Formats: sequence, structure tokens, C-alpha cells
Amino acid sequence: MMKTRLALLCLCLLIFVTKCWAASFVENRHDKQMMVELIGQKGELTSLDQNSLTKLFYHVDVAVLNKSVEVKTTIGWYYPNKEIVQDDGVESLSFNQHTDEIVITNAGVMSPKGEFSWLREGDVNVIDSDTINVFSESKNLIVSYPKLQAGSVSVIEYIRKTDLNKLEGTWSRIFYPQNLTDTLSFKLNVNWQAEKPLQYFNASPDVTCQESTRSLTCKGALIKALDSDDNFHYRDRLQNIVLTQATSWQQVKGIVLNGFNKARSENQGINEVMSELVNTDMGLAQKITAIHEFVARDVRYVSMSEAGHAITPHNVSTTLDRRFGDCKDKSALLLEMLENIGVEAYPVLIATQREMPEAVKVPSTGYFNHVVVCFDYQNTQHCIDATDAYTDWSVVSDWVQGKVSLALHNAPKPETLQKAKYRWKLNAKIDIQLLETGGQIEKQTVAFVGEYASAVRQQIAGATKKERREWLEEVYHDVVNEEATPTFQVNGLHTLPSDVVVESEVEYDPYFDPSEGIVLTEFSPWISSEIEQFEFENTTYSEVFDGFKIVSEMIIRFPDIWSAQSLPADLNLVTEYGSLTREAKRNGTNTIIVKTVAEMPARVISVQEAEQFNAILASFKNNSSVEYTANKVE
Amino acid sequence: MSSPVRFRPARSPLLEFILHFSTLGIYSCFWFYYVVREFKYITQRSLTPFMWFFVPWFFLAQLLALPTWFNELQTTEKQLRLKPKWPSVVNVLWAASFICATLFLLVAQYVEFPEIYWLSVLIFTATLMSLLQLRINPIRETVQDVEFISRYKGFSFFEWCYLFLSVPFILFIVYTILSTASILTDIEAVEADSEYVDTEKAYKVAVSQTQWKRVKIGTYSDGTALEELKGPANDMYFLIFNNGENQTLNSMAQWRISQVYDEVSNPQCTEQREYVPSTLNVKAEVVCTGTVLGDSILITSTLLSIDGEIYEMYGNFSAVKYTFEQYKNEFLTMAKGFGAYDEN
Repeated sequence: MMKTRLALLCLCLLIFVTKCWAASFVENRHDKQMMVELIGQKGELTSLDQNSLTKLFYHVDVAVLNKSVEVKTTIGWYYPNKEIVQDDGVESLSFNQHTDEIVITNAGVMSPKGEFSWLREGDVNVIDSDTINVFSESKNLIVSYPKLQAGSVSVIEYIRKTDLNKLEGTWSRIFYPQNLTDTLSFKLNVNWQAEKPLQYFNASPDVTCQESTRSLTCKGALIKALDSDDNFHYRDRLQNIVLTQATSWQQVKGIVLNGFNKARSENQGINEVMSELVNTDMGLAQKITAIHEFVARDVRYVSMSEAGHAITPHNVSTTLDRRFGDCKDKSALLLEMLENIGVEAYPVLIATQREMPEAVKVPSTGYFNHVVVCFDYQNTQHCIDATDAYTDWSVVSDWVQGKVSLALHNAPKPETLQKAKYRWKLNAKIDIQLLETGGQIEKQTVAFVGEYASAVRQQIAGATKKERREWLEEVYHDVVNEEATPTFQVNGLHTLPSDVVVESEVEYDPYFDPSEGIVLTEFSPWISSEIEQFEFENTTYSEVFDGFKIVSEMIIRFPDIWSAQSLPADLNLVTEYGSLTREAKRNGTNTIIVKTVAEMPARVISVQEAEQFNAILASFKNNSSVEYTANKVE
Repeated sequence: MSSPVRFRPARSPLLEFILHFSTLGIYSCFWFYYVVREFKYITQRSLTPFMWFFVPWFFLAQLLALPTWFNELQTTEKQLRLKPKWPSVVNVLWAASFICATLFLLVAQYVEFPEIYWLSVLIFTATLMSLLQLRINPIRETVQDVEFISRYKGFSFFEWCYLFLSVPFILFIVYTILSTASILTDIEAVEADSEYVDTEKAYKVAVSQTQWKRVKIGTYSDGTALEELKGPANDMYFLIFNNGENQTLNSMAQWRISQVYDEVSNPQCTEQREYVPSTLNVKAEVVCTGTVLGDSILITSTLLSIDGEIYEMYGNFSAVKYTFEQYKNEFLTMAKGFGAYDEN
């Protein structure tokens, strides 16, 4: 779900834009000698790892001119077996259609026998960088190498030219000498003109750089592949070299803020809309709610990063008129409306694929692909993602929490956006009436709170009645019982400030012998199912654990022919990572009330802590079951 | 002439002792009733025999009743021209001794004493009562014109049966109490405010009270306990078991609770679980309260997993009111003090 949202919204890319791209991408000069020389320098290919793809060379020449930047890239791959040919036999070259021209100047494949096959125009294809959302302005040139077979080497040389006049900000670029495969040779040569000073930062331990007058030379060899893991942001970890024309974070912030100010200066129509949304009888919180409801749910999200609007939002009046816009447009509108009710808000840039601000070394807009609006209310910082139509403004959208952010306010440098102590909060009330027949009637009221309510809304708010019912049944079968199919009622789906409350009721067929005493075990369904989801599986990198708090109140009612005998154990299982507590009490002779709270606050879990953390989860799960007995009244 | 009161023949003081002792003093009530009835008949004084039935049980009543009784005894003896067997000062001593014994039994309703004390007091009171038989027998042998119940050596068939049956019972009780006292001193005392660690170094018990001692395996358990500890009160002990790998905390706790519900009156059980400090080993503490024969009882089961095996320290404490209150909290503290040896 989060990935879907990410895919939909990351299209709000703050990248530089131009109007079109060249009609032809391939001007292949069939330079066999160049290819042979580059491949030959790598020695005997059969001595390489025959089970994984190897990047033989990654050479980049950058020329920063007064009006443009030309980046010539040469990449060679060695494909040792058929499986790798199948999986990795394409090259994906990203470019921006509004600012970049890209031309492949020399590309082909050398077979194990030394025969050459050259890339032709028909072997390349342009697709949107994010195929899920067709409004993306970023494109990928997909290169399918011809006649690729096991033992082949592919070589591609291409030039990407960026028109600096079409950029709204400063030029910057991140190069990754390291990859998810081994790289045998990396070279970066940069030349720039005096009037376009360039900053660089080398965050690659395997690469050494040497700067001289208006030039930079970096070299690295035998750069090992980045260790992969179950859950991590590879952009935080990959060795990289950043080139940027920005001189400070202040400059970056100024450029983006100017764009917002410009968009907000054209705000015709705002007063009319505001007069419809708020009135003097409303408190400030009510006004914010009304504004948020309008911007998030009445102005729909459409990616709109065309030329001139990569980092500059469209005018507020235009967005109001169209009732659609991207994250920048909606944020600008939200800023304007909040200011209208006296709330001093500011935009915050977000890098949705980064969680480590320390890996964001030099000033550049290139790290960021999203924007939210933050403000202080009752001494607490609130951040609204205007593209999130399902999360109340009182909580921060789950998918931006903890991400690298740059507040266009008073933050001197990037930091992480605030995280909730418990991202996943749920209150379950389970009322079980045991029947003299040996069955039971079970009524559940499950309240999904905050971010969790948002996640559920995302799933079923727009679904048909049938789809919604199927989803609820699936969740019930996964969490509670596979056999039973209850009736459901859902409240709070369409009102953001509310919890999403799912009520269910079902009667179970007889499953115990009513002529005997009762010895039953309930397994605290919501607690055990939630705990299961948080197992730490990383083996290399630490991971941010989101945190959860699940409150379960179970009321077990016996018919008059039984009286409660033994109650479930009271629990006071406390660890440094969280706790599982329970209190069981009688209510009269034939009712038991069991309240269980499982809570683990958000925190970073290191690999060294994984075993302990998982053991705690397992222990909590094992101890979450509710056992009780009742005797027949003689 | 037939009398309205049928007298009992003279009886053997030794056999009387057995009756007084084996009935835990209940026979003494009847003894006073019949004897006063005989006094009344002989002296024709205004006495209410059935009221004397209650004298052995009521300490305050004895303060007045026993001097009265000795007066009536002397009056009866005088009327029959019998010389008292002992001087009056012995009467006073007898009465004082009996009152003290009753006082002890009264206090023992609230404060527990060692069982050997009980045994001693019962023997003492039975002896006192059988001494009185030495004064009563001459009266019965002297009194004229009364009808005696025809019995062999003064005892009815039922009493003879009871005497034959009660002798082994008395011997068994005495043997049990004496042997238990002997067993309980067999093994060393456990120091207060110390940590008792078993020889295999699997578990430990934090001992907070004085007078705890290790006793022979089988003293309280069926012989399967690893350790048996006896506390300062009579019915106060802990048993430590290794229930192996096939049990779980849940199954053991539920079993103990159901056992309590089967055996104890007014049972109430709670169970609390927490981690053993610095570990993820769960310790379960079951605490049950109730009553047994009118006395409060506390049953605890402290369970923990050590190397995959479920160890249990089972505690039982039952006592009269004040003793129960005196030791209850410390008993619970000791129950909580059961832990794995390697914990911090």
C-alpha cells in the first residue's frame, strides 16, 4: 500500500524540465576499436564471478559549460550465464524530456567468440520512469542489447546534454560508482568553466578524487557490490559522488521558496473559496480541518511537472480553478489558505527514498522528490501531505515520516521528518458471549487510529461495496478466524479526523462440549497478528521500526449455567523495546474482562539487536493468548 | 430402691485418660455432665448438670465453675464421709492448670504453636482429667441406694470398642508428631536474608524469613520434589519440582489452579507473569487463597523456564488467624524469590 502511494506520488519530481527530446536516440558510430580496447583492459573475462553480472567499466566525462552540461557515459557489462542475460539484458537510461537531450553514440555486444552486434534505432524504446503513473515527466530510455548470450559483453556510450537555461534552479548530479553488482573500473572526469563554480563531495571510500584548476578526476577500481538487505533505502547506502552548482542549502531553499512565493502571488479566487470553507464561529482546528479536507480531497492529485514547473508550483489561482495539481501545487494552495486563517506554515522538501540525512552531503534539490506543508499548532509541529487524501492533519502521513527533509524555513540543513511514537495504533473490543449449545456469539469493534486509519481508508474508501466486504473478510480470516464470516459495518471511512471503526458480528457453531466445564484459549487475534508483522529481517543494515500500540479489551460472558473459575494471567512483560501488559478481572460471577496492551515505540533497530528484538516479539506473541476456565454451576 | 439417676461404676484412670485424650477433650464435656449429675443426686443441691457440659471449652466459665466444682466435690465427699485424696491446695493447682491449658487452646485458635505443644497440652489435660477420676471413683464405690449401670469395668460396649480403636490411633498421632519433629530437625537450617542455591545451580530461592529449613524429600511431597523447605509455621512449606520439557507455564499454572479449586473452600486465584530480570524467561506467579477446615490457606506456584524445562516452586501455607497474618506477606515474598540461578 505504501509502495503504491509512493509510486503514485513520487512523480512530483523536482527536476529540471525542457519541452521535448530528440527524435533519434541512436547515432551509433560502430567503434569496434574503442570497445575492444576497453574490454581488453579487463583481462580474462572467465576469471570473473560466473554467477553474477559484472560492471566492467563505468566511465563518465562531465563538461560544465556556460549554457549546458554534457555528460558522456561509457558502461560495459559482462553477462556470465543465460539467467543473467534473461534478467539483466537491458539498459535503462533516465533523462528529463524537458531539459535533456540524450544520444547513444556507440553501443553494441561482443559475443564470446569476439563477434560484434551493433545497437540499432529499433533496439531502444522510451517509457515513463514510473509506469504506474502516466503523468510522469521523467523518462527512461530502455536499451535492449542485440544478440546477447552467455559470456557476452555489452558496451554503451551515450551523451546526455542538459540545457542550463531551462533549469529553474542550479544544476546538480549524483553519480554512483557503486552498484548492486561489482564494478571493476570507475572514472569520473569533470571540467567546468570559471563562471560556473562547481562543488563536489566524494562519499565513495573506494574512489579517490583529485581536483585541479577547473577540473576533477576521480578513479576507483574493484568496487564491491553494495550488500543488499530485506528492508533498506539503497540511496542512503550506495557510494556516491555529488556535483552541484549550488553553493549552500540556503541558496537551494531560496530557489524553491521563490517558486512557491511566485505561485502564491497569483491567488485570485482564494477569498471566495475560503468564505465557503470557514466562518468566524469555527475554532482554529476546525478551520484547519476544513482547509485540509478541501485541499487533500477536493483538489485531486495530477502530476504537473512540465517545463517551468519542475520546482515552481503552478499559480494558486490556476490550481483553484482546475481543482487539480501535483504536490507542489497543492502545497502552495494549502500554504495560502493556512495563511488566510492566520497559520504560519512553510513548505518542507522530502526525499521519500532516503532516511539518512547524513548521507545528504552537499546542497542540491536533486535529493528531493516531494513537498509537504508544516506548521506549529499548540506547541506541536504538524506536517500535512496535501496529496494524501486519507490522513487527518493531526498525524503525519506514514510514508513521509522519518524521511530526509529540508524545511524551507529555519532548518540550516536536511534532517529527518518527525516520526510518530507509535505509527500503528489499534483498539479492539471483543465481546464473546458463550452459548449453552457450545458455540459463541462474537462482536468485535476494531478502531484503526491515526496512520492506521489512513491506511485502511486507502484500501477501502474508494472500493465498491463488494470489494470492501471482500477486503474485510480477508482481513478477518487472516487475523481472527478462517472459518467464520461475520457481518461488517464500517464507520469513519470518509471523515478524516475520525478513527476507522470496523464492527463485526458472527455466531460460531458449537465447538466445545457444553456438558463439561470450560477450558478455553483465545489467542488475542489483533495483538498476535500485529506482532507477527514486525519481525526484523535485515541482516546487514539497521532499520527504523515504526512502532505500534495495540489495545485489546476482551469481554467473555458465560451463560448462567457456568461460573468463571480461573482467569487469564495478568501480564507485566516489560523490556527496553516495549511491553505487553494485561489485567484480567471478574465482573460478577459469569463475566471476565481482559484488557491487554502491547506497545513498542518507534526506534532504530540495529542488526546486532535483531535477535533480541525478534525474541521479544515472539515472547509477546506466545504470551498474548488468553486462557480461562469456567465450571458448571451445580 | 431405684434412683432417677443411674450412676456409672468406678473406672480405670488410665482408660479414662485414653478417652479424654483420643476424643481431644470432647469426652471431658460428657464426663463433667455425668459427674455433676451424680453430685446433685447425692447432695440434693441445686445444680444444673447440662451447664457443666460446656465448662471444658470455656475459659471464662472455668474461672467460676472449677472452684464451684471442687466445692461440690468436697460437699459430696463430706456427705459420704470420704476423706479427700489430696489437700485443698491441690484442687487450686488442678484448677489453675486446667484453666491454663484451656487458655492455651484458646490462644492456639489464633496463634499457631508447634504441634508438639498441642500434643503436650492434650496429654496434660487428659492427665488432669484422669486424676479427677481418682476422687470420683471412691464416691461411686461408696454411694448407697443408687442404681448403677451394668458395664464391664465401668465401660459400655461402645466405649470398649472406641478404646480398642483409639489406642492405635493415639499411638499413630503421637508417632507422627514426634517423628515429624524429628525429621524437621534432620536437615540444616536455611539462613535468613540469604539466597539458597541448589546443588546443580539451576535455581535459587531468596530466603527472607528466619526458621526455614531444608527437610527430607518426601516430608511433604510424594518424593518427586527436588527440594522441600519448611517454614516457621506448622503447615508452611515450599516444594521445588522440575516438570521437564513436556509441560508449559500455561499447562502447569492451569493444573495448579484447578487443583486448588478442587481441594480448597472459597478458592480465589490470580496469576501474574513477568520477565526474569535481564532475560526473556517468563516467570509465572500463581497465588491462590481460600480456607481449609476454617483456617486460611495460601497456595503459590512460581513457575519458570530454565533451559527449556519448567521448574516450579509450590508453596503451601495454612494457619490460624494471627499466625497466618504474621507470615503471609513474607511467604508471598519468598514465593516471588524463586528464580533461575544464572539471572543477574
